[in-house]
Amino acid sequence: MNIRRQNWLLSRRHVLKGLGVALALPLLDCMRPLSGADPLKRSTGKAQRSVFIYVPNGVNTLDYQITTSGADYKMSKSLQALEKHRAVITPISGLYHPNGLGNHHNCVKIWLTGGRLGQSDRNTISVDQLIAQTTAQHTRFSSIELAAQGALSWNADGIQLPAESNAGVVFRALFEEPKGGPANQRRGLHRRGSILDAILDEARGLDGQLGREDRGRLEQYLTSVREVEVRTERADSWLDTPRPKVDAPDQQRLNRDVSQQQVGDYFRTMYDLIVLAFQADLTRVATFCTGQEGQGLAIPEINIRQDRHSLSHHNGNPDLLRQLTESDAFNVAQFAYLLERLSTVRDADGPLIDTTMALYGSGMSFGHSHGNANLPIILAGGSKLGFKHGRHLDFNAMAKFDGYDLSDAGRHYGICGRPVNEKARLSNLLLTMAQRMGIEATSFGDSISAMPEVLS
Amino acid sequence: MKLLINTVLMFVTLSGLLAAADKPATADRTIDGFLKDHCLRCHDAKKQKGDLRLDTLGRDFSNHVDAEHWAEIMTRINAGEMPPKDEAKPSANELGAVVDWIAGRIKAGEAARMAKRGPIAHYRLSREEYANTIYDLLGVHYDVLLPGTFSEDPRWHGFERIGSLLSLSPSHVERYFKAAETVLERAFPEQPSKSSVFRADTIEMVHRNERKKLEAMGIAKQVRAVVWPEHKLPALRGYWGGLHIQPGMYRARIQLSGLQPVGGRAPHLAIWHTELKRTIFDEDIIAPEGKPVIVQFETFLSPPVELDIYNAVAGTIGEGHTRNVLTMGSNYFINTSDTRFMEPTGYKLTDDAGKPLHPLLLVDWIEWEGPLVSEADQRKRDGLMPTTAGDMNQARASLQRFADRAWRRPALAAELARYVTVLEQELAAGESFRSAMLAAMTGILTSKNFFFIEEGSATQRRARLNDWELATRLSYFLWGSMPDEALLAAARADTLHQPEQLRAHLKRMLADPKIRRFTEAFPRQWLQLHKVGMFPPDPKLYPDYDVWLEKSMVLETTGYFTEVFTRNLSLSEFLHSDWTMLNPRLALHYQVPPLTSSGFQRVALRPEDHRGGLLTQASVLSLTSDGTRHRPVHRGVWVSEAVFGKTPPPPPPNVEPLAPTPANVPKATVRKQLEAHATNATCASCHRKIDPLGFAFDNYDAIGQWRTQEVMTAGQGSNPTVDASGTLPDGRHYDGPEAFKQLLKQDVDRFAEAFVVQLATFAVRRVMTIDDLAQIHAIARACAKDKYRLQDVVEQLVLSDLFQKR
Repeated sequence: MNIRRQNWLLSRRHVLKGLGVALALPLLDCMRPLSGADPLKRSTGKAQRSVFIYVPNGVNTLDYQITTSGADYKMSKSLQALEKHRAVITPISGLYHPNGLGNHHNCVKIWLTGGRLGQSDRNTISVDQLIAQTTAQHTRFSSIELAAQGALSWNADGIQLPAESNAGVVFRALFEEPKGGPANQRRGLHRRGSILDAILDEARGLDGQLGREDRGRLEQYLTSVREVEVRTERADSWLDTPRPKVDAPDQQRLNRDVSQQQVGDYFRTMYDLIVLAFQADLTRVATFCTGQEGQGLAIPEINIRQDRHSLSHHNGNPDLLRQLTESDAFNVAQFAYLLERLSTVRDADGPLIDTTMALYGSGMSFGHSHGNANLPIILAGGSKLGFKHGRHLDFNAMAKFDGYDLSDAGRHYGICGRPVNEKARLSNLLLTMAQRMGIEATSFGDSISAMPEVLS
Repeated sequence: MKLLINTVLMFVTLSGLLAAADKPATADRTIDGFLKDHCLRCHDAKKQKGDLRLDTLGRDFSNHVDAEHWAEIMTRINAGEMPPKDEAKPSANELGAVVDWIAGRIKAGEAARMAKRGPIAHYRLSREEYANTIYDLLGVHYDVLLPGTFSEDPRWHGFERIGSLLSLSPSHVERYFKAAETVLERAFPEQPSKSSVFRADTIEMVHRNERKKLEAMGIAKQVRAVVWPEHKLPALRGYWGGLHIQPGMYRARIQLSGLQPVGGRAPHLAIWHTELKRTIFDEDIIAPEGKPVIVQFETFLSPPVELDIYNAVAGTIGEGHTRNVLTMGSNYFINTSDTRFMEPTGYKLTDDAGKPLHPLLLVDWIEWEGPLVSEADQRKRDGLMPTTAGDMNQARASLQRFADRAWRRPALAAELARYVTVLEQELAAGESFRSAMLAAMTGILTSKNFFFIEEGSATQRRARLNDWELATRLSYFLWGSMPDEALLAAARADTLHQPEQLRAHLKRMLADPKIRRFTEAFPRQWLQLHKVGMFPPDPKLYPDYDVWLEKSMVLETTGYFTEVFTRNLSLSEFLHSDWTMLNPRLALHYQVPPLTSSGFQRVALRPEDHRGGLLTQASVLSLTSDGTRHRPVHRGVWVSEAVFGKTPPPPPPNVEPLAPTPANVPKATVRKQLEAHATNATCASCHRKIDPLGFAFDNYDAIGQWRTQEVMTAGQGSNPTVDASGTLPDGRHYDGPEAFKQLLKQDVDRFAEAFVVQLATFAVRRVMTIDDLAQIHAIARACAKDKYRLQDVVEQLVLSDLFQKR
C-alpha cells in the first residue's frame, strides 16, 4: 500500500474545486507541499525563525520609557536586564495599532493581526501564521502556540488557535514518539482520513446549494475539516522520520508540569522549549502569550501577589506602581534569558540569535486607562535576516514632538493614549518581519508601508 | 406613578435597541440640531475638515462603514477633542444626548449584524451543551473542563451560546474527533467493566505500616484521622490495594465528623483533584465528633487519578506547625476526651471546658464503588451496537438509529451511506467489526449535523422552525441538551408546534430533573457569574476570603434563581426579597444567625441583615469589585446591564487616573474621589446616569460584607463614613440600598421587559434586534397581570413567534 497519500489528497481536492467549492481556503494549507520522509531532503535552505512574546496590561510607562534616541540611548529602569544584549535589540517607541485605540482588553487579540474587532467582526490572520505558511514545508510542526493565559495566533479565517499552557504537554508533543509505533499510527491516521472523507463529502452536498454569502459557518467548517486533513496528512508524512533525541537532564527539566505560581521557572521552561524546538528544527515559528489583559500572572516569588491587571489599574498608588515596575522588570529579565539562550545555542549557521527574530511587547502601554498608543515593543535578533540593532528607534521623536517629561505623568499618559506619529503603525513592523521571513506581501493588516528603519 | 416610571425610562431603556426605537423623529432632531450648532461649520460640503463631511454622513448603522465613522465621532466628542476649544461649548446634557444617540444606534446596528441569518443558520454547541448531549445520548460523562479537551467558549455579555460568536477552528474539529473516539470507546468497551468496592480506613490513609501494632494496642477500630485547616489526607491513591480505577462514574462514601470552635468556622470537607487542580466536591461538616455522618457523592474518574481530603478552612496555624502533631510516631487520635495517645507537647485541640479551638475534620473511612453504569445509562446504548459481529443489515440499522438520535432528525439514506462506507473501508483494512463500527459512529459524532444546531433549509427561505428544529431549540433552551424520545416522537408526528402539545411538553420538561441545567446555566450567564473570583481579593485586606466562600457565593445566586423558578415566584423577587439561600459559610459571611445543618437552605432575612434579592448578594457585589476595593461605576454598569438591559457607552480612551489620596490629607471614600466625574462635562454626561446605580451599594465592600465605614489605607485620620444615598437622573432620591431596591421594584414592568430580552437571547442563541421588540413587549405584557411569575414568562416565550420563528 502506498502510504504517502498525497496524490489521494490533492486529486480529491481538484474534484472539489471542479464542483465549484473553491473556498476562501487561502493560498496556504492545502498547498503546503509535503516533502518526502527523507530527513536530508527536509533541511533545505537555512533555517530562519521567528518568535513573538506578549506581555499583558502594558507597563509602568514612567519607569519603562527610554527618553533618548539613537545608539547611545540610556536603558530605562525596567529594561536594565537587557543592557548586556544591547547589540542585538532595538527598543521601539511610538508604535500603535489604529484598531487598538480605545479597544480595551481586545488589544491582545489584534496584537499580531492589526485587525479590527467588534462583537460581530472577524479577526484576520496573525503574522506568525502568515509566516508559517512558508516555513511549514520544512518542519514537522508548522508552528507552536504557547501561553500562560489566552493566545496570540489567528488562522486565515480569523479564528483563534488555542495555545498550550502546560510545559510537559508541549514537550511530549514535540519530542515523544506516539505510542504504538509507526504502523499503528498510520492505521489510525488512515482511519481518520476515511472519516474525514465522509464528513467533507457531506458538507460539500449542502455547500453546493448555498450562495456564497449564505455559507456562513459552513465555510468555516469546510476549511477547518480540510486543515485537519492536511494535518493528518502531514503527520503521516513525518511518521517515518524519527524525532530528535533529548538528553536525560533536559528531558527531566522540560517534561514536567511547571506551576504558574513559580513564574520564573515557568517562563524559562517555556523559553527553553522554544529554543530546543528551534534548535532541532521542529518548527520555525512560535508564539508565547504570557497573559491576557483581564488577568496577567502575579509573581509570588518576588512578593507580587496581585495579578498584572490589578497592578495596572494602579490609580496612581505609588505602592502599586512600584510593584508594576518590578513585575515589568521581572518579565523583561525572563525575556533576557531567552536572548541569552538564543545567543548560546548554535546550529550549523551559528548562534540561533542571528537567524531568529524575536518580538516582545504589549498591545497596551498605560493600562490604568487602557492607553493603546506608544506601545512597549522590543525587536531582537535576526541579524542574518537583515535587521540592524543597537539603537532606540523612536517614532515619536520623528514627528512633531516636544520630547519626554516623565515628571509630568499626565502628559506622558497622554502620549500613551493618542499616537504622536500617526504613521507609526505596528502593522508596518509586522509586515517587514513577514517580508524578511520570505513572505512576498506588500501590506499586512492596516499597514501603510514597510519599516525600513529596522533594517541594516 | 405612571409619570414616575416614564421619566426613569429615559435612561433605563432596554439597551440601545429601545433607545433607537424611542421616538426616532425627536432623537434625530437632537442630533441634527447638535450637528448644525457645533459641527457643520467645519464639516460640511464647503469645508470638509479632516476629510469628514457630516451633513451627508450615512445613518445606516447596520452598515459597517457608517457605524465606524459614527464611532469615531463619538470617541472624539467623548475625549473632549470635538467640538474644538474655540467653538461654542455644548452643555453636559447636550453631549449626553448625542453620545447616547450614537451609542444606541451603534449597538442596534451591531445587534442587527450579529442576528443576521442566512437560509440555514448553524449554531455550534457550547462545550457545556456538548457534554450534556453526549451524556444524554450515550450515558457517558465527558469532562470538557479537563485540560486539553475543549477551550472556553467566547461570551457576549455573559452568554456562552450566541451563534455568531461560536466559531469553528481546525482544532475544534480535532477535538471533536478525539472526544468522539474517547466517548465511544467508553460506551462500548471491549471488555465490560466490573464494579467493585474498596474501603480505606484511617490506618490505610495515615498509618499504613502500623496496622498490626494498632491492632495489638486494641485501638485499630477507634483511631481517627485528624485533618487540620489547610491540610490534606489521601482520599484516593493508585497504590491502594483492590482499587483498579477505569474511566467511569464512582460513588464515594466518607464517614466523618468535625470540631467547630464556638462562633467560628465549621471545618470544610473539600475533595481535591490533583490532576485537575480543583475541588470536585464540597461540604461544611457540622456533625459533632460523637455523631459522625456519612457523606456521599458521585464523580467521574479516569486514571491516573489522585484525590485528597482537604480541610478547606483558612487556618490560624500555618503549614509546618501541625504536621507532626498527630500523624507520626506513636501519636493517635481517638476522641478529644481521650488524650492517651496524643502528642503531649502538641497544640491543644480543646480549651479547658472541652470546647474545640480549631475547625478540624475527623475522618473514619472512605469507600469507593465503581465504575457504576446505571441501568438508565446502559439503556441509552441499546440497539446501537450489533449483537452479531459481521451482520451488515444489523449494522446499517444500528447506524441509522444512532444518526437519527445524534442528529436530532431522521438521517437520509444518502447521508447514512457515507458512514456505512467508512464501516466497509475499515473492515477492508482488517479492523474488527466492533472497531469498524466505532469508526463509523465517530464519523456521525464528528459530522456537523451533530455539533451544529441547524435551522432552515438550503432550498427555501422559511421563517418558521419545523418540528424537529423546534424540539431541538426547546430542549437546548431548557435542558441544555438533545431532545428526548417524547419530543422526537411529537416532531415525527408533526404535532409539536400545536399550542396545546407544546404546553404539555413544556410542563413535562419543567418537571424533569434536567431542568437543573437551565436553572444553573441561565442565571450564571445572565448575571455574568463567571466573573466571580476573576480578580482574587487581596489576602491582606480580606484574610477571611477563601475558595469555598467564592464557590458559595455563586451557589447562593444560582440556588436563589432555582428557588424562584421552582416555586414560580414573581420576577420582582430578583430585585428585593425577605429571604435568600444560604449555607453555613455564607451565614457567617453575612453575619446572620449560624445555621445548624450543612448545605444550602432557604433562610428568612431580617431588615438588619441588609440582604434580599440578587443585587445585594455577595456574588454580584464581588464581581463588580476588583479584589482590593468596590467599584461603584462597575456596579452601576452591571445594574444597568443586568437589570435594565442597557449597556452604557464605553469610556473614552486615555482617561486621567483618579488622583491618589496623599498621605497627609484626610481619608476620603472612593465616592468622594469619583466626584470629579460630575465636574467634568464630558464625564458627567454619562456618569450621572451610571454612578447613582452603583453608589447605592457603597455599604458593601469588595467581597460583599456589610459596613458603615470605608476602610482606607492611604490618608490621615479615621476611616470615612459610607454615603449610600443618591439621586437618579429623573430626580428620585434614595437613601441606602434598601430604598434603592424599593425604587427598582416600582419599575418592575421595565425590568420584566429587560428580563425577557435576556431570556430570549439565551433561548434563541442570538442577539435581540429592534425587529423583536414588539414580541418582547407582548410576552412581558401577557405575564403582567399575574405579577410576572418566572415559569409563566418561560411559557409565554416558548409559545411566542419569537421562539418558534428562525
